[in-house]
Amino acid sequence: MNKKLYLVLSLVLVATLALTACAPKEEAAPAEDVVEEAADGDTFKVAMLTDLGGLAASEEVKGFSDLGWDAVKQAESELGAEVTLLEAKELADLEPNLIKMASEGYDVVVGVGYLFTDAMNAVAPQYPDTKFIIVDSTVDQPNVASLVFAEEQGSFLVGAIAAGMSQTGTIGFIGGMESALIEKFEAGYIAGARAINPDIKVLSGYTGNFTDVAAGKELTLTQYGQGADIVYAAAGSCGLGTIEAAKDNGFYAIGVDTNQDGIAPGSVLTSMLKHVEVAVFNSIKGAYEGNFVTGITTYDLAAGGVGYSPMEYTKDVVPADLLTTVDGLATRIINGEIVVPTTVEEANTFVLPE
Amino acid sequence: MHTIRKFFLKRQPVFITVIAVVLAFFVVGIILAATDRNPFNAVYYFVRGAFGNVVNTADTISRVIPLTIAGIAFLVGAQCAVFNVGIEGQLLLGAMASAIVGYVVKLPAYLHLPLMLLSGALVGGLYGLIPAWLKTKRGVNEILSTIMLNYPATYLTHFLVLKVIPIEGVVPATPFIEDTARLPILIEGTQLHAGVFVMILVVIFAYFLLYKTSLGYEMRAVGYNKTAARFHGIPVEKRMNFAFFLSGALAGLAGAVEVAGVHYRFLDQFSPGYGYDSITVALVGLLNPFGVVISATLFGALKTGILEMSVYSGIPRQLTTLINGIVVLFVAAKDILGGGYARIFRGKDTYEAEKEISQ
Repeated sequence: MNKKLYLVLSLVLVATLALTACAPKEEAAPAEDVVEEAADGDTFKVAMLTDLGGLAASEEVKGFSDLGWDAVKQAESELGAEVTLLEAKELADLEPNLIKMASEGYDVVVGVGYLFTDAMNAVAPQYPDTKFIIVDSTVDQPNVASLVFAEEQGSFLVGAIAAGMSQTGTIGFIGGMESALIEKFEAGYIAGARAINPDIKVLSGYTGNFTDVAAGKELTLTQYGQGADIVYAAAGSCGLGTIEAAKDNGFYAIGVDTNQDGIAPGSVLTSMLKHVEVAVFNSIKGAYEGNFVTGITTYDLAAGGVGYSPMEYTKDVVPADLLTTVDGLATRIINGEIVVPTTVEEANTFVLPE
Repeated sequence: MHTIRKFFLKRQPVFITVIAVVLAFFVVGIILAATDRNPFNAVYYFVRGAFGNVVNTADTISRVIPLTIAGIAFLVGAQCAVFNVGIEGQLLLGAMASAIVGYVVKLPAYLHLPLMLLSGALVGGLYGLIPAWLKTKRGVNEILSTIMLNYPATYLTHFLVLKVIPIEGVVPATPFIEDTARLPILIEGTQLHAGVFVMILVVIFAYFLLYKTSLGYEMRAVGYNKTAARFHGIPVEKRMNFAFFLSGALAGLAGAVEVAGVHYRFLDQFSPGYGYDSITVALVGLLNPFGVVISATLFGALKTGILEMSVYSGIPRQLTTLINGIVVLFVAAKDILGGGYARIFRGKDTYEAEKEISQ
């Protein structure tokens, strides 16, 4: 028993030592801080904030938020900006995070994700000199640039490719958490598939979150069991489960947001690209050069904001005439001849205009 | 010496909890140091982030509010042998009900705000009566029933914001509540809202109920020993049903206060697991209403302090979950420290000291 006592005693002692040792160091720390803040005046400072998504743990599984960070890093290297990243843990963090960055004199504050909508609406008017950027949502304030994407157009093209490649006449869609945003992916995909094959059967399912890889895999296998031989996942990390399922069972997955073809070469047919990095960098660059564009900017096919991956590993299996047809569809979307629906209801009755 | 010993022995649970928390931070420090990060720097930014200035302190307090109310919700149950693990679900349903009352009903503020908060409490309480019925009439273990009832609540609110309640834009949420249903912000530019007064009232109410009324006495008697309580003529089932309702109602109130003070609408996923945190908060607070405030402050500070820490000292946010876990682990395992503690403050006159305490 004495041993135990000594152990506890010594632990307490060390703990106390550590705490007392804190004191002088704590005073030393603010000095660095002053230096940081002293540099405020001339450097161009960019802060990026993520919502609950956060950044990916590794390069291979990059997602939506990582694309925003790519843009900010690009601003660091090309514009010499000083950059910071702040990842939120919960929704109540978003507003304090925005305030923190704005009040510390960041010139541009980027909120990646629609969850920033309310918080930015509240914070932007308080800091009229700060330039705010929101991705995927619209905030109607004079100092906010709202960057939105025509996900339905990109999804339309991968839907067309999926329908053209499907042997079974059944394809699958997997969404993350249900929302108007994810519905755009689903609607575009269904409409695109119907453009190639009006009799195509599209199975849809939602995992209810953007993080559960196992749920994504399970849902994909269910759809595979029901005959789907190509599954498109717009579900964040759940999509990794879709790709895994496709690889294990020898069918095709379609990636989303970033070029995910390389995660399982040959098993990922293509990826629907959402060029968040282009949009965010353009906006930051505008702020840097003094012509920051506020209001809503839509990155669609015409603006090069969405598209599909170059199919590095699957080019050979996709018939050339299918790709020609798809490119033709893309041109017609850009011309405005095809208006891609944004709701599933419209998509289910979509007929390709003559 | 005698008095000092007595002082420390009498407050053994409190001091051991404090030591456990300190040790937990110490272990976190070792982990930080082992991964080439300066723990002292981290501590500095942690404290600065949580309490460094008015804004940070205010934001910390705003996090303490839901944790405290939810912690009290768990406490009033646990004091009466009701382990309500379903606070998360009750909180979500309460928040949803209050948000609906907040945007549908048109009333002057002095009626609208109380009505909105009460509707949240009522719905949370009613939802708490389901496991109460299962427990007292059917003998279903309430830990199982309450934890499972979190899922229907979560998905029901999810379904409501996505499919039933129409709203413009991409955010899954209800429309904004009327201005008359909002708790005013106390310090401009922060999230500190008048819900802090609701919190104080809840703490005082819980203390008064449990320790100053015969109802509370009977509830605690049930908590100590159901059989003995029954022998003394206490209607055990009635008291437990009440504890279920009260626990659920306070959980619903916690959700309503978040809606009225922070988000101004029901935002899907708004709760980062307050319901689950509440259990930790209540246990670390030694199931004492004022202890809950202190432990909620600790956990609230963990939430805000860690943010600043991760920005300035390069500590990834995943580590923050670890820190939380270590604190909980140490507090849960604090009884291991008990023996040593008693030894330190026990001398020859221990017997007399203990006798005096027990008198």
